[in-house]
Amino acid sequence: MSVLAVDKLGKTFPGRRGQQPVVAARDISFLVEAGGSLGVVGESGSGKTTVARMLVGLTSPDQGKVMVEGRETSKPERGRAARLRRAREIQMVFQDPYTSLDRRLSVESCLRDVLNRHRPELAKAQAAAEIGNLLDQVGLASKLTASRPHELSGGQRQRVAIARALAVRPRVLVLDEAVSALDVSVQAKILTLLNELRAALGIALVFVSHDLAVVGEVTDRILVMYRGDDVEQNATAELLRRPRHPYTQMLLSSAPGPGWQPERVAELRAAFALTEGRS
Amino acid sequence: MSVLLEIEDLTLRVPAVEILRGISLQVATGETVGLVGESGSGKSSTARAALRLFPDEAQAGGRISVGGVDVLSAGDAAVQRIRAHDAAMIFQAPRTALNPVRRIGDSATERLVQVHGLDRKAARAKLLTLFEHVGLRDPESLLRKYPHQLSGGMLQRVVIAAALSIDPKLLLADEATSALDVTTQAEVLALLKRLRGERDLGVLFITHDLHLAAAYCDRVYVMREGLIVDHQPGATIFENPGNEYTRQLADAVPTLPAQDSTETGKVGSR
Repeated sequence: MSVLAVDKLGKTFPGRRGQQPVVAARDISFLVEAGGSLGVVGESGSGKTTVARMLVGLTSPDQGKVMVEGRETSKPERGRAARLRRAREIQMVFQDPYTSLDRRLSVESCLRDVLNRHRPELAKAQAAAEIGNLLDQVGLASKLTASRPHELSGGQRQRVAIARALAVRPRVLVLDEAVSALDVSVQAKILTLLNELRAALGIALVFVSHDLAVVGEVTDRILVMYRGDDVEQNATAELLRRPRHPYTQMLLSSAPGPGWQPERVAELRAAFALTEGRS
Repeated sequence: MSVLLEIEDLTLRVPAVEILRGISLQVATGETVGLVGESGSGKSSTARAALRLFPDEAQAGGRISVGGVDVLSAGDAAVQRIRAHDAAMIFQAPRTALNPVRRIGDSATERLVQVHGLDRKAARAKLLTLFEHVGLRDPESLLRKYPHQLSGGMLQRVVIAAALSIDPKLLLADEATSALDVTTQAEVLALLKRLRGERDLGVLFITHDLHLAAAYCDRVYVMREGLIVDHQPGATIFENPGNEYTRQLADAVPTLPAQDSTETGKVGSR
């Protein structure tokens, strides 16, 4: 059984002031096994963040369902117990570590809060040891436990955000542009960390990013979205080498690299008539 | 080719911090020169120095020349002239570059009207031509819109058009396309490349994206902790990094595998 099973997820947002409704996701389905990793790529407005938010229950789907280890998590559930259970099943890390951490809390209190809430069975000493473990896992020095977010660098903050997500021992970790704002050297360390974590803990990853090269480093499968649609889904190596859909081909040819010709992208876009409705 | 921007042994310090520790670089007409490095390496400070935009209490040493004017020793009027006529800067976030409560037509023509002394009608006409130039559709209606009504890609085109409206010789692009989708980035950069050719612009192109610098720039300077540690043609950065730090950066950057040649051929020939 897959850890994460997403079946025909759909979401339409009402249009603003007489405009057409926006289909942010249509019939999105995928499976992620334990230790597996799915990348979701596409341009701004393709619906990738909407999908991520539906996975964790921040946006409620109009259609379809999200199953974590066989249990449907996308049904609206009331009450604290249900919310806590879902939080334990699936966690999310956002793009901006500067705004996703509480600036008044030190690294230690931030993690302790999560442990108190989600793993109350831990005694005080055990919780302290677990905080040490978590910091170790994400490669943060234990001398930083008393630091508050403003005393940390962007990379350190993102590690705290990941440690906080891991503290609940989720089965699924959703990362939305989680390394996009970081320098390449920090980014490389976090990507290595994510690969280690999914191997060691069997966490299923969903990695949302506009950066195909980064996605290539941490996923074994990629879903390409265009205007709410799943236009192509394939094994990572295969999709990057042999993109089938014209949109994927255009995305890949847009990424700067050897032989990159920016002029080509406009041509490809026009050639595949993807310009309609975009202005 | 003549040298537009020449920086020699530039140092910059604010109390207790040395931001730049002896930078030398040149940008000539018609070339795109990359400046890459990680956060805090001093890339933006270098570009801003060309317009004498320093942080408070900063002390600068060395020499900066823009179009032959010594920026560090020149009077305020001469520096104003450079900012108004010779060099234009494009920042990363177009949303913060335009006043959110003013119509685009007003913000983007402000400099032409206030500094260049054009009347409003002439300024608008000039901007309209540039809007078409940068690939913005329906320019007339854009003038009446507010920044929040436009996508990031469109806004960055507006900002580029406004920067070009003063007919600068030197363009300082500080992460100008970093916030855009790769597809939009490619379109905006294709445009900048074309304009550079048409107007013989010199471009100082700041980016943290090594792949982009390698693919887009004629020459690339690599900065680290306020120093230039490497300088070479963009094309050779990955194959032949000039020093250990560049090699580490190049290794840290994820790289896409080459696409299957038959498929690429198909895409190319459509």
